[in-house]
Amino acid sequence: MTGRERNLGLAVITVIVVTLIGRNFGQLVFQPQKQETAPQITLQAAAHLLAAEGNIQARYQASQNHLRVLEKHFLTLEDPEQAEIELLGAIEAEINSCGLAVDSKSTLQISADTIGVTLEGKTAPLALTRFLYNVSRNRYGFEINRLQIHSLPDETLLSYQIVLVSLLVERKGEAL
Amino acid sequence: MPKKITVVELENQQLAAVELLSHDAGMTVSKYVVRQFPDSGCNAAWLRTVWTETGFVQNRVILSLPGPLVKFKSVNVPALSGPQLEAAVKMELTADNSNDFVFKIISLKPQAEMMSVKVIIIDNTELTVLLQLLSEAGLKVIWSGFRARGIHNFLNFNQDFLNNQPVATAYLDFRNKQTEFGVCQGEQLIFNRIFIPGLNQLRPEAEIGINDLLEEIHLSLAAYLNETGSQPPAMLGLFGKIDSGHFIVKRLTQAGYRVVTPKLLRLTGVGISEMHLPELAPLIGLAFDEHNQEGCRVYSKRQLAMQDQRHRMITVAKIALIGLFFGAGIWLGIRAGFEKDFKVKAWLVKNTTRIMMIRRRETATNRNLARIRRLENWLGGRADVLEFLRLFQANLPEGTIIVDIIIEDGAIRDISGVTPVVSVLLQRLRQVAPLRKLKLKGNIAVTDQGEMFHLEGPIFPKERLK
Repeated sequence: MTGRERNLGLAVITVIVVTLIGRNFGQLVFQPQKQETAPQITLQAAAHLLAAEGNIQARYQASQNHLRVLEKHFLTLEDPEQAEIELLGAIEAEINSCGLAVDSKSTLQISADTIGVTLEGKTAPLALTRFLYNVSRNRYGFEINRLQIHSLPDETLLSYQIVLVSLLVERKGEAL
Repeated sequence: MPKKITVVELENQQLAAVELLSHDAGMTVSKYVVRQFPDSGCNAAWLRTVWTETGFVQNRVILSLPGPLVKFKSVNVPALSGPQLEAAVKMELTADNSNDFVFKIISLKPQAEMMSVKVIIIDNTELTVLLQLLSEAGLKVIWSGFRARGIHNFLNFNQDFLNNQPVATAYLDFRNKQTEFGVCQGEQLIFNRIFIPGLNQLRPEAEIGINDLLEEIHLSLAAYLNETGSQPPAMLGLFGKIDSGHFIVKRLTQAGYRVVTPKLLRLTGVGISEMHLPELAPLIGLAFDEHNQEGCRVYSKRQLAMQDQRHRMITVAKIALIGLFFGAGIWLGIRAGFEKDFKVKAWLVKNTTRIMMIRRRETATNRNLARIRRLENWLGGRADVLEFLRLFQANLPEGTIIVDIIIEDGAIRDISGVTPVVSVLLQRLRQVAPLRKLKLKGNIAVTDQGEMFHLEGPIFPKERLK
């Protein structure tokens, strides 16, 4: 390579390097002001989101509706004391309708969003069976947390202890 | 647009110039002039006047070097090529010639490991003076050539022109002070010899001059035979200020030489008279080299320096142009990048509210789905205990009595009872998928009523009796 060719090559490389440095420097210094308020999202992701807006909205609405339907089976956390009272009332209604003999009953708070009712007594097997069947289909979504049964063959009765629990939900669907 | 090629010669006390038009189909002669110098000699003003009067508009010309300016020489150098050969020849010439000169290699002849190189040497100082004179007259010499080259080109060009026009490859070029004998073969001038007398010494009444001429021609032919080993060509072409009626032609014919002067030109255009064609033929021959970059072009040192500088400037200009385009490309690319970034961000800002709303909806939907799953699992599991008890009761062997059941948190803590044979009970339970996981806990106590057992295990609400 002659001296002239070498110098020419060095000059070209220098021009390229200087230009690239200048480009990066320019981008660093002269970025548009509005960049600070732009959301932290790439263009492609934003385009995808906007393109899927209808779909996302439809899914949201469907999930809202379904949640509202499900939450109707449960009491709300807005007033836990009232929820306890309603729960107890529902249990008592079932007790009366099934003829369950109850020696004692009480309410309990198992967790922040779970309350229950404890029943103890001696009753006829049929009454107990009917009671268990009815509460499993009750609108308040009762679940049998604990069931203890002891048969009393001499009295043809069953001694039982039942703990029924139900969920408390925060609100009816998600508010925005 | 045809290109104008003008060749000029200042020799034999006259100005000779011919202009040709070069186009795709070939060349045509457009004008010529042969004018004697004034008594005061040739000067720039006179040249300018003649140039204007004769209607020559082209001021870029080719110069036919005057004979006295051109010296022929042969040197022996090692067999090299390219710039190395040029350098070797220059070294040889510099050793013999201390004057300021330029040279041009006109032929090469390998001789074993050496090379016999024929060159023309031109005094650079005299050439510069001549170029300066023409420059002052408004004429710019683009390159210079020597007459022998012009004659050579002319002879080659007319080789097969008209069958009744004899063709020569040897020539005699008559100038005022000297005469040149040369032989062309193919693309090369293989032999030439310059001798005195010239036209100034040749008079019809001066027998000595004629005899000297004949003697020199004879010597030249002998030298040719000796140098090349070939018989000289039979025909001699005559060039210079000489026509077919000139007394020299008659004397040469009388002496037994077959001579011919150019009478016809295969180029079209302005007809050149028989009187002037032998003078102008070498100039026409030089014009053919305008399209031949490999031709024997001679440049003065100043012309070479200016050419070099011009090439350097063209190179710099090309590099600058490339750099400019490259820089413009990079700048545009950077600008485009900035523009794109700016537009993207502006678009994102414009759609921020909408995008944030969609994102919140998406997050809310995911939360809803998690709650829905939890609630559905809860509601779906409500009947698990009852279903288990139903299955369990339906698959008890006959005679089995259940005494205690404790179910807590979805698992069987204890089911105790009495059955005739525990293994039968277990076998029955294993046949039902949801009950398969129940296993014995503790010992089996044998009582009067039967075998007392305790079972424990998980409840699988999703399994159903198949």
